[in-house]
Amino acid sequence: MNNWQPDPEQTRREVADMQQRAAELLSALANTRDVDIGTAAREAVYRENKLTLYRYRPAEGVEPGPAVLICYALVNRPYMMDLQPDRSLIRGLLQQGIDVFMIDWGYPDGADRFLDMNDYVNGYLLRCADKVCELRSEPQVNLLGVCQGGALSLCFTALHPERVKGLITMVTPVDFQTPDDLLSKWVRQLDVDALVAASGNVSGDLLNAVFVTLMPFRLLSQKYMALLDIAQDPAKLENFLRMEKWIFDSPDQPGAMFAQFVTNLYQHNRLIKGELVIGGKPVKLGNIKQPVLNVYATQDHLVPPAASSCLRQYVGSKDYSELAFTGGHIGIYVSSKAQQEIPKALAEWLLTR
Amino acid sequence: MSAKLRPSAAKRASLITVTDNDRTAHQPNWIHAWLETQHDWLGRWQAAVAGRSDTMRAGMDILREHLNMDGLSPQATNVIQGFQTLLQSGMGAVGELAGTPSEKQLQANWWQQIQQVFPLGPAREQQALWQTYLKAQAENQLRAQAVSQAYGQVFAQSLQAVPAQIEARAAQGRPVTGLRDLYELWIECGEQAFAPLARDPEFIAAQTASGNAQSRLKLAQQALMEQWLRQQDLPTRSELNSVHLRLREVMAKVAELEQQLAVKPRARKKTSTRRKD
Repeated sequence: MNNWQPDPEQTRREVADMQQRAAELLSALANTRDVDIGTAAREAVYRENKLTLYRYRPAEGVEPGPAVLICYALVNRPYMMDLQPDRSLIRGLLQQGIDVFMIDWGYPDGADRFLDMNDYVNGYLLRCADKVCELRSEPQVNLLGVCQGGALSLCFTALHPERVKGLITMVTPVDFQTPDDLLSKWVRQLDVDALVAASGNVSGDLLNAVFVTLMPFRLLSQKYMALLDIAQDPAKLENFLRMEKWIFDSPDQPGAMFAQFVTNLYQHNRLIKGELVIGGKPVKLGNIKQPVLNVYATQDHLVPPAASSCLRQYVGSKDYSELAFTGGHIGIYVSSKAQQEIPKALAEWLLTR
Repeated sequence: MSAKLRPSAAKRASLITVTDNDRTAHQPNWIHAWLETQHDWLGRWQAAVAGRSDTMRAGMDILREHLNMDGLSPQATNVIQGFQTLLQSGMGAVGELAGTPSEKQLQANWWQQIQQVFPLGPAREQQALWQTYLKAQAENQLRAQAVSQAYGQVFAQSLQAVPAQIEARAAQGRPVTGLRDLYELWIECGEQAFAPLARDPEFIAAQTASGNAQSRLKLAQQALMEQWLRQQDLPTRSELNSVHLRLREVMAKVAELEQQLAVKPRARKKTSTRRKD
């Protein structure tokens, strides 16, 4: 047995060093005020209930070309797309000459608990697409769906193909029951009706608790211990805090929408089976004949690559392409590598279709 | 998910034993103060864990044995023990959660009988609501206990895996270099211990059952609350839901009418144009 016998003096130094860094960290946190997020210039062009549709101002000296409407997830806030100036998918797209629109779903409250998939897909999303078409004087819109927003975008495109010119899905679950999908396994036997009946809207805090429990040691302990290493680096600390704010700034999920999403997709996998019905109409992925770009992350623990990449089997498009990004579910938006690769690839795809 | 470790009484007693002489000899004030804090925590958590989770303490014993603390200076020993204490404090929290009555105890409880009595008399509706609530409360405790035990098992396994990992690292020429390194190693062991459990159908069923039991408990609480609110002529969630649903229907009808109005002027315009022609 090759046991570890620490040098007492080294151990004492290490403990003293950690205590020193902990004190510095506390001091830095005490002196940190709120962090700036979502700073790209934009204007609200449409509002309805809690929803706001934003149009971003073109980058200086860049003539805006084709438009894209970003449909973000209801889970978490859409400023992940523009977290900070040097980590911003939106700024990257603007630089490439894309006219960017984005839906902010807002924070649903108790009065929104009966909003369902029909309201989101055939209501809000449809009206936002119409608004973009109206502002652009164009009959169709390019749609970019993110995660859960990607699933909604797939449903929308299948139900309203005449409104969509091209579809981009990013880290979007399509097959909700792939073997490596831990989240799916965890919710498969959940009594969703009881949960929604008991809680009305499903709290964002509850969802966050589930997400961090997927990797409890890393996300509840190690992540914060690592803060000691960046206590003296204000820029890194601010990046961490910005991300921390985003992670836990989680809107509640409208109860009916959550129940339908989990039951239909996670529990019965109806999207790929062609059994999903929204607003009385069947959602057939085969109806999607538009060009499709499917972007997924190879190390995504929330939406495993297989859950996304299977889209190619189900859409009716003859112009289907994929981009596999080496990174995780969040890294695909905020890593420095993503800033180099993703906006350019998306813009190139949009500009050539 | 079942606990398999059964440490001896001697091992349990020797978990962390430091004499006052060890604590104070040749130590600067800050070390003494820090150690005192650790020992305070230790006392509290040991009391919390006592008698609740053999597997957790067994994991600590194994870790201690393999860390080979004999022959170290009191200061180094204390620092290692401090680390153990920190780990144990986390486990103690789990032990606290797990400290709910067993199923046997619950069955023996007189509440159990009350829960099963068919409600009679003018207050039978109220009694029925209370019975539902008590059943839901008992079920929720049992389900939560099962999940807490599973997490406790993961903590224990994570500690048991550390010695082997220390050895493996040394064999690879990357020996553990300090407390922080040891901590990172433990995190890895923890995730490795948790990964198979997270996918274990038995654990998933237990976790889901716990979540579902929480929902049922909340529903039972709400039913009691609603009854009281109605008696006080105060608004209830059911009433609010009813209003929200009606509002939703009205809004849908308004949208439908707006659509019809938007279509009609165009139709009228076409008709009037024809007349002119």
